[in-house]
Amino acid sequence: MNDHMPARDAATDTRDIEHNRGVAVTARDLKRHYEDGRIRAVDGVTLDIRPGNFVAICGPSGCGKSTLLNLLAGIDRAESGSLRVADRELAELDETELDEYRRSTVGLIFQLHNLLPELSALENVQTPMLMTALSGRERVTRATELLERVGLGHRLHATPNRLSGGERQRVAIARALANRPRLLMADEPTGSLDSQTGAQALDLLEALRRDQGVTLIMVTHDPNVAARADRVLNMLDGRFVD
Amino acid sequence: MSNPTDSVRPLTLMRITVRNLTARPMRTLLTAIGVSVGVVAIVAMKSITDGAWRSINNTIALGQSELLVFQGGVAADILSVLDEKAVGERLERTRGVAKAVGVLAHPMPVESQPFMAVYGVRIPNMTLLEDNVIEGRLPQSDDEVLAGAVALRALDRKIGDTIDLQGQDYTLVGVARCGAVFLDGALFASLPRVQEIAGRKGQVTLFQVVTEPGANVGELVERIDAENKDLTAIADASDYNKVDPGLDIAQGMIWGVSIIAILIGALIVMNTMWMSVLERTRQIGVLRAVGWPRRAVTRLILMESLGVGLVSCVLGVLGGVGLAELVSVMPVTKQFIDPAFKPGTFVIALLIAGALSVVGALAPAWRAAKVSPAEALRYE
Repeated sequence: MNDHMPARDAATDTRDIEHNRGVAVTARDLKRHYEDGRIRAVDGVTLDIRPGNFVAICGPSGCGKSTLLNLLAGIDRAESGSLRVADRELAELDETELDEYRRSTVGLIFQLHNLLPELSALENVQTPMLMTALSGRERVTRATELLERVGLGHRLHATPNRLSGGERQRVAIARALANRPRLLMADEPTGSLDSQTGAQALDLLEALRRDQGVTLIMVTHDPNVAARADRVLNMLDGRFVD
Repeated sequence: MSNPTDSVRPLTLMRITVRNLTARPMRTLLTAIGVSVGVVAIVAMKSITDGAWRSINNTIALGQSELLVFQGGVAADILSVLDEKAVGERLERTRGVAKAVGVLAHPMPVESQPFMAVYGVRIPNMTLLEDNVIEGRLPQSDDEVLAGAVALRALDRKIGDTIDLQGQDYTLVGVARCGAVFLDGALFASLPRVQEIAGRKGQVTLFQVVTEPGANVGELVERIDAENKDLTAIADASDYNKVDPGLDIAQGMIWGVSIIAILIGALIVMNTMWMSVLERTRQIGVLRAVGWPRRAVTRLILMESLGVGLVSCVLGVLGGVGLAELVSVMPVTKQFIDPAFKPGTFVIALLIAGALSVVGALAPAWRAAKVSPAEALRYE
């Protein structure tokens, strides 16, 4: 199986690329507790991320990194505090607006690629686009371009069980880019990959971030990954620490 | 220049539905079979009762006849007892009646058949069947009989053969096809001979009434009923419950059995879809996380359930038609059952399969839509 990842080619591919599209993220005293407050997953986080920045959030397992990412991605709601992304206060968005925020502003990459096993790579990349106004032909064209950009132009019709771990993660990256997000978030994107494939995936994300100017927030506990970020935020017990 | 992706079909909700159903073909098929049981029951039973209604209407319309007259207040048509001469004369005096032909229905064993209807009709009145003779001729003497096409096959006889009725041989002279299974599965013999066999001298079961030209049949039915408290006139199968509630009872039982089968079908759908939603909680979480609204997830689950319902409907219609046809050729029942397959039956089957698919999927779809994406993504 060809696992070659042409990150540089992708980086120089300027078709359909808009620069400086990143969004600013501002959080103030953000809290998310579970089990009647016994578990303080996010406990008073304050942060400022500038548009186009690459921020790594580090910390041990259970420190609240993924919960914070869920809050930023709009797939969970904070109990208190303020969270503004692209000048929108997420707490003020209703259900429909939050769906739209996730769909159009955010691109999410999970540790376990979370592809739909019944669908091909091309179809998986189209899933976020199904809820947009794009026509079927436009969806296919865009998904094909994205898969070509991540080096999978030759694997369009392969289902996830016929793809290697690295290829699956690249499909997941293409899916995250489907609706041209301004905020790209990745939760341990290299966690299930070997070091070489993981490094290639990082190269690709960095190249996309650099070329499209999107804001990139990455949860990791790998110091090598964190070293590539503009800024590293360390978390412990639901808070940022120095 | 054509784009290489031009031939690629875009992803749609329908496509995801089909993929999900075909990804677990055995589960889809078994669920559809479970749901189809109700559809089979409805299609088979309704086709059989529709066939019975059709037979009654064709019996009423036999020859020039336009209505039947039975004894009033009987619990079953076969229990009707009428005086051939007295009632016949009374009917023929009624305004609008041209002729009243007495018929004695007598079910009895005939040779190899344990149960066969034998109708006694006076030889001159056999002309009532004139248009229905497909082979041979009408009986012209008391020693001759006419056989319905189904009865002929059941008895394995041909024209010119003899048929033994209670120890006496009768010559088979003709074959009739009336479009009514009760008649096509019967023999027609001389009325006095059948009265003698049945021990019912001077009696008939019913009168086939031929009306005068221009007579209003509805008004005639009302007039006969009003002027003769001991009689009941029927001009349409829908009134047959006046002399025999059997079909109504059968219809009630059909709906009773069908409702149970439908409830079981809905539970089967609910179980399958609930399991499917549980198994795919994480996938649903991913779809929600990438911006799918709740209603899209609900629609996906309902569409999958409707897909199962569609397969169930096809299986149920095929099974129902097959079952009704099977019953209609079984030796014990072939003289009484001739199913009628009406388009309305298939529409009902489709509506029921669709409705129970939707009802069965409501709770799973609600659960799928309710799940929070953050929780779903943590789901193992």
